[in-house]
Amino acid sequence: MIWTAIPAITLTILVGFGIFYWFKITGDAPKDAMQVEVVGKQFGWEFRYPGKDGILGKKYFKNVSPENNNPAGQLWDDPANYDDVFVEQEMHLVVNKPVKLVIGAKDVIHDVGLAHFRMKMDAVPGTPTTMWFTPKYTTKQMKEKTGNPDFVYEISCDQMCGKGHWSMRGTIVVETQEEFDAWLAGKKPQYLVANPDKDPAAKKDTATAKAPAAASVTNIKTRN
Amino acid sequence: MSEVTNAQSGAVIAPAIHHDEHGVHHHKESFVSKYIFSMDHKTIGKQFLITGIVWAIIGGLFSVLFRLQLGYPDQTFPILETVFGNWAKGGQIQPEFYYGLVTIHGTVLVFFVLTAGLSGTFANLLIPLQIGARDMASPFLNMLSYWFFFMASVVMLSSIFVHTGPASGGWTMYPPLSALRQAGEGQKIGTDLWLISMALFIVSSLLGGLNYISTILNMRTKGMSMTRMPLTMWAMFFTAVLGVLSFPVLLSGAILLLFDRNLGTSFYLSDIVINGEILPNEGGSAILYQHLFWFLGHPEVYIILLPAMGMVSEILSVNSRKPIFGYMAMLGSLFAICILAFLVWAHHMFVTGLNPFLGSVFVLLTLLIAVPSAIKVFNWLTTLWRGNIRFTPATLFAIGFVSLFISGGLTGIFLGNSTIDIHLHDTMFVVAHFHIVMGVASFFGMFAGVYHWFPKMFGRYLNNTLGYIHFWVTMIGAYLIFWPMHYQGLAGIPRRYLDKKGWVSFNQFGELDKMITVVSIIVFAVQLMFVFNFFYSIFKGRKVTNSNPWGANTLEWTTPIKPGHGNWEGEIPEVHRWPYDYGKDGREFIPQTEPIGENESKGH
Repeated sequence: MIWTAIPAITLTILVGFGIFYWFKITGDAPKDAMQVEVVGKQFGWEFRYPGKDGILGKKYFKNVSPENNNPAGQLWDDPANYDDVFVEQEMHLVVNKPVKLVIGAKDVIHDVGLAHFRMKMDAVPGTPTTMWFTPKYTTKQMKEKTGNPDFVYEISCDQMCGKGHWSMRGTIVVETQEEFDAWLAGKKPQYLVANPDKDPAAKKDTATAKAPAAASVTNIKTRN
Repeated sequence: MSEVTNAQSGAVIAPAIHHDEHGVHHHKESFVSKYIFSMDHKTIGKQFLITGIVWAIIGGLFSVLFRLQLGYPDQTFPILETVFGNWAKGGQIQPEFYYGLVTIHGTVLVFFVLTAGLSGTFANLLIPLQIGARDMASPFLNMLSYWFFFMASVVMLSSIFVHTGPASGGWTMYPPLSALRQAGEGQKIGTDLWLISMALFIVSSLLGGLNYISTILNMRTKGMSMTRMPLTMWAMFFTAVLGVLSFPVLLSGAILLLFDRNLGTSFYLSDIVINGEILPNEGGSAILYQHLFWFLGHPEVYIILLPAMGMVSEILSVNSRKPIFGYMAMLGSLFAICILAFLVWAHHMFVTGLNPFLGSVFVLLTLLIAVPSAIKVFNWLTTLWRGNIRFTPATLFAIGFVSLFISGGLTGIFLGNSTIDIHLHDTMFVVAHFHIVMGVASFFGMFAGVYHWFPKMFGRYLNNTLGYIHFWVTMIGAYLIFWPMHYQGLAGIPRRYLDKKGWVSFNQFGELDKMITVVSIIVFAVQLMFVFNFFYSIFKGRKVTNSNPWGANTLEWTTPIKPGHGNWEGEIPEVHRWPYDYGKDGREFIPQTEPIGENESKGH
């Protein structure tokens, strides 16, 4: 009986701790968390930032059309999409700021594997998943800590997804808020890429006297 | 033979033994009916074993091939191109070939070797012999069970030779990858053949399982109550129950997948854009398949482990010349494992977006399995404790099983805890864990069984010296191969990465991978040595002269050295006691057939 009791008690303790942290990890993200959409495809990663409004615009898979500059399948009649920024392969995050990833996949099941953050979550076509965490060190700090000048946070695909599974690599740059803002400001919202006629910046080139509109674009780009 | 027994046994095995006077098969047998379409459970057991050995060689060879790639990703091996042509262009294993190799390696070792080859062999061989029956409840279904397995093998083997290659979606065959032909070469005809082969295999294992259950429940000899059965029988019984209850679920999952592939249904498919092509499917759930798969997949682990546990219990008790410690506890823990096996499947799915509350329930149920497992481990150790141990190769492999079960079981506690699993899931840690706890451990149980019952199967012994070499190299090699993989997993290296050079986080293990590859080649060579020993000894091994060479109590050793179809000449013996009276009242062993003596000390 003692041999039943010892493992039973040990396991109770392990389960207790495990479940406590499990609920902490899988619980709701803090309110100030930023959101990023992560989408896996054979064989690479796509990211979408919600822009100034903090809302990821609606999308529908039948709208996916890289030829028309709409690789994510965004619905252009949803105003929340107007300021969403689309990037590939490299995700930028802000140090010490919680981030909630909204995860999906285009073709088969992938998995957002974040070895350095000790987390992962499947990317399932048709069923969005989420995961949140807070990066504690910038990429620069990690280079110093590990003594490895080549250090970079990597996203590995952890779920068998086809012949390129082993090389389905994405990277994460963790940086300060200022650096992040500057980076995002350099990106044009996908809405404007796909609909150049709506782009006030482009119009400014043709019709010179559109100063107020141009100013509003600057606003969007340098959102905090 | 008395009229009554004859009528009883004659009625149940009528197709095989029509008019036998002595319980032995008399009418003329052709080569075909004796060795090919045989209905003798012993021959069918050997057929399963030899087919299993062939598959183990193929599966093992595949692992050597992909280990070459992992250990030496930059080197070219021109011979590979000679043998495999385009699959190894320039002497390097191509990614699609690599994934085909791991998929077939996993599938054949889990299903064809450690399910069919293990419980197919020993359930067939031992059930009638140990419970005292002339054959299975239905020898004909038993024969069909083997031939369905054979057909499954033929289909699986042929899939390796199709132009687009074998299935390459991993042995779990998750859709949508496995459902979409556009997703890769291996997802074309190879996957269809894989699914058909698995469907045939499931039919085989259901026919076998139903037979094992009905034989154990209905055909025990006089005096053989359920609690007088050797633990091997209990293990086979629970194994068969698990298989019968869970394999049909996999069958349904596989058939829905075939529908999705070929008939345009959307059971598993929704919102898919592949290679720029937008598919019409909406509303399916990719995760549904994982539930169906793992509802079999987890019990499958115990389908593989329980027969090994049963045989190890028997072999340890016989060879330490001591009664098994805690027979009822062993039985209870087998039962508990059997129940829990059905309640833990979602621990394979902690990172699929499963509801966290549901996840926590599965954590609890998963870690509960540690309790019956711990009971079994302590009982094996206390059986050995102060025993008069005969270190035969079978004993060594049985002790090796206990060692591997402990090491692999402990890492299971890491993985079963979802909080740690979200880091370790789908990494090399998982590979290390399940290879040790269910792969190598069950192989050790199987080897123990082969060494122990070889004299019963062929009337000859396996060579002992080769047996000892086999054990020590395999034991040390298994730890050298799989232990380091835990470190790779803790570092986050995902499974199925055939080259890690492009990764800053994972490229620090090059030398370790080389070491693992070298060891796995050595271990594979030693397995070939065992196969040589096996076939050589069938024809040239030392002959068995004593019908009870190990001094064991169970009924199979009361048959002639080479029993005919029907097992016992004359009447089936009656059983008077449990099978573990070793070292009792100053006697080394007391066979089950011996009536309780007047002055015998009580109980066990």
